[in-house]
Amino acid sequence: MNNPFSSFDAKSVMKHLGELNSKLMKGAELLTDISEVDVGTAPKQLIYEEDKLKLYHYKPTDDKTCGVPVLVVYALVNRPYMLDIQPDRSFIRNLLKLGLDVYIIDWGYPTQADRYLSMDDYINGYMDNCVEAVRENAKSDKVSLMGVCQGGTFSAIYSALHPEKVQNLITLVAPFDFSTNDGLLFNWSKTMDVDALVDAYGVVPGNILNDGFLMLMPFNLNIKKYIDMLHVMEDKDKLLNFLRMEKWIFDSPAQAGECLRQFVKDCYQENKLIKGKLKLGGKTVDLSKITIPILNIYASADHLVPPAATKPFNEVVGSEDKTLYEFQGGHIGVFVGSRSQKELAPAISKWLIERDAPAPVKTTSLPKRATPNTKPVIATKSKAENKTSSNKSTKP
Amino acid sequence: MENPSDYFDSWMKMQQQSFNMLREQAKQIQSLYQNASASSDNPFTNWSKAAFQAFPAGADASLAKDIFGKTLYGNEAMQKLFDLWQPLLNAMRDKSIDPASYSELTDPAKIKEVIDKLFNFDLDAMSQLQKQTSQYTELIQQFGKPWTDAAKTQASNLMQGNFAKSDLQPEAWLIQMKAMYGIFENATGKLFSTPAIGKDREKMELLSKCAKAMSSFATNNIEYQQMMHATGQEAMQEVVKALATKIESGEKYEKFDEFFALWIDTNEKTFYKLFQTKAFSQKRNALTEAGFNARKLYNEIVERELVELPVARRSEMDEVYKLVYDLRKQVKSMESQIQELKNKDQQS
Repeated sequence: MNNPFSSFDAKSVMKHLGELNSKLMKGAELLTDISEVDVGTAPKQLIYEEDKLKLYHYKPTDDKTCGVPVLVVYALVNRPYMLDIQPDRSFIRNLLKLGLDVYIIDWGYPTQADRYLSMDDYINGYMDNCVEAVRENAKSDKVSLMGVCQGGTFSAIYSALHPEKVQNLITLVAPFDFSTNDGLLFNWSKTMDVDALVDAYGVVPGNILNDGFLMLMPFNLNIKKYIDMLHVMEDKDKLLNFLRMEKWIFDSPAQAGECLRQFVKDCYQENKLIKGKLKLGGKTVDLSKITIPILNIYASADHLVPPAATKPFNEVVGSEDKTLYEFQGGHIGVFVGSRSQKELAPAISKWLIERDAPAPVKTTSLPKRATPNTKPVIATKSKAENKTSSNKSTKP
Repeated sequence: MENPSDYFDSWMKMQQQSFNMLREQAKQIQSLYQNASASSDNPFTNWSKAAFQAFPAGADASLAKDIFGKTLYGNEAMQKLFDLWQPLLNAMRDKSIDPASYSELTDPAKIKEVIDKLFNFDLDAMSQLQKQTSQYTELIQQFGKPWTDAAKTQASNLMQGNFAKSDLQPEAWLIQMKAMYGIFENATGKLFSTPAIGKDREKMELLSKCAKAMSSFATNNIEYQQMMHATGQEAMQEVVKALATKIESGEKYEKFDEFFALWIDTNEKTFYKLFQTKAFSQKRNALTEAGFNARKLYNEIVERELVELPVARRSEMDEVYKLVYDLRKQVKSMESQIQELKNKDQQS
C-alpha cells in the first residue's frame, strides 16, 4: 500500500519542526525588541473635533493636482489607519503623492455615553459638520467623498441628502444592496436579533463583532495565520508588517447601539436603502437623486462585502457619469495589497483629476459653519504637531 | 529506535510534555503569587509590571504579549493536530485507508478539544454561571434550595455531557441531552414559570425568568456545539477521503505542512458549507439571542441588589446619557439657528 506519509523521515520532520521552533524563539526575541508598532504615519493635522470624532488633514504635497478636497469616510467598525498602515503600503500616501488634498474622519471609540447616537447623528450630524469643516479649511464649495465599506454607504446616503456639497463620490467595497446572501455576514444578519444585542449591551463591544469576523474563516484566521507567521517571524520587517495588520484587526471600536440597530434592521434586514425607503432625519434617502460622478469600486473576491452587494448601486443612482471598477482581490487587499498601490490609487487619482472642477473660492459665499457644542481646531501648530509627532515612524 | 516513526513519535511526545510542564509551572507560579496577596502589592503583579516596564519606552507590551500568546497557540494547535492524526497516520502504514473505519483510529475527545478551542466553547463558564445563579438564589431564598440544586445538577449534567462517550454519534448525544432537558422542564422547570406570591414576588419572578433564560441558553449552546462537532467529524471524513484519493493517484506528502494545508482547507470548506445554511444561521442567532436575553435579565437582578448601595446603576446612567444626548442635540440645533441668524444679520 502506498502511504502518503511513507516519505516522512524523522530527520526532515525534525529539521522542519526545529526550524519552526528556532523561528519562534527568534521571533519572541524580536517581539520584545520591537518598541512600537507604528501605523498611520503620514503627517496630518487635526483641524476639527466634535465629541469623540476627529477630522484630520493630511499634509499635501507641493504639486497639487486636484482642486477639490477629498474627504475619506471610513467605516465605524475598525480604525481608519488601515489606509495608511505602513509607509510603503499606504493608500493615503499614494493619493498624496498623486497630488490630492486628503482629509479623513476618525470616528473615535464610542463609550456607553454614545449609545443613543443614531445613523442620523453620524451622517447628518458629524459627517455634515466634517464636510463643512473641510469646505472651510480648503476654501472650496464642494468636497469629493471617498467612502470605505460602511463609510461608502454613509457617503452615498450623504450625497443623496446633501447633493449641493458633493462634487464626486467614490465608494470602495461598500454595501448598497443587502438582499444578497453571497457573504456570510449578509446571511447571518438577516435573522439576527439586533434588539437583543443592543438592549443587552447598549454600546456593543468591538470584540463581539470581531468574533463574528473570525467565524467567517475560523481555521485560517485562528490557526493558519499564526503558523504562517512563524515562517516570517525572524524577519523584523515582515514581523512588523504582520503586527501592524494584527493590531488593526483587533483594534475594534465599540458600536453605538442605536446606530448599529438601525443599520442592521434598515439595511441588512429590510434592504431599505436600495429600495428608496430608508429614512434619516425625517427625510427619505433617494439614491436616484445622486447625479454627481460616481466611481464604485468593488473587489472580485470580497468575502465581507460581496460584489452582489456593491454593483447594483450604479443601477439606481441618477448619475450619467458612473463607473464600476472591479479590483481583482479581497476586501482588505483593496487598501494594502501591492496591486492596490500600483493600480488603484493612480486610477482613483486619474478619475478625480478628470472630474476636478475647482470652484473659484469665495470664502464669503460659504455659509459660516455653526459649531455648536463642538471644538473646531484651527490647526494650531503645537496641537497639530503633537498629533503628528506621536505617530512618527520608528521603522528601521 | 526501530524506525523513524517511533523516533518522531517520541520526539513529539517529549516536546508536548515539555510544553505542558512549562505551562503548568507558569500556572503554579502565577497562582502562588496571586494567592499570596490580593492587594496591589501582589508580587506577581509587581513582577509583571517590572517585566513590561523593561520594554523600551512606548512599547506596545500588551500587543507583543498577545501576539506571542497567539503564536504559541498556533504552534500548539499544529502540534495538537499532529497528535490527533498520528494514530491514523500510523495505522495507515499497515492498513489500507478506509474512510468508513477512520473513526476507530481517532480519539473523538481530541477532535472535540480542537473544535472547542477553536470556537471558544467554554463549558466551565456556563456551569460556573449556573452555579453562581444558584448560589445567589440560595442566598435570597433558602426554601428554593432543593429546586436550584436540582437545576444546578441538571445543568451541570447537560453541560458536562461527554462527547467521547457518545461513540461518535453526536445526534444520539443531542437526543439524550434533549430528553434530559425535557424531563427537567416537565419536572422542576415548570416551577420557574409559576407566578410567585408575597413581598418578594417580583424578585422571585425575575430570578425564575433569568434561570429559564440561562437554561434556554444552555440548550441552544448544546445544539450549536453539536452542529459544530458534527461538522468537525464530517471534515475529518473529507480529509480521509482526500488522502485516499491522493494515495490512489500515487501522490505523496513530503512535509507535514502539506498535510496541514489540506486539513485547514478541508475544514474551512466544510465549515463554510455549514455556515451558509439557514439552519446554522438560525441556530447561531437563537444562541446569541438567548445569551443576550440571559445577560440582560442577570443585569437586572444585579441592579436590584445594588439599589441600596451608593453607586450609580447602569439603568440610571443610561437615563443620564439619554438626557445628555437630547440636550446636546438641542444645544447644537439652537447654536446652529443662532449662527444662521448671525449670518443673515451680516449679509443684511
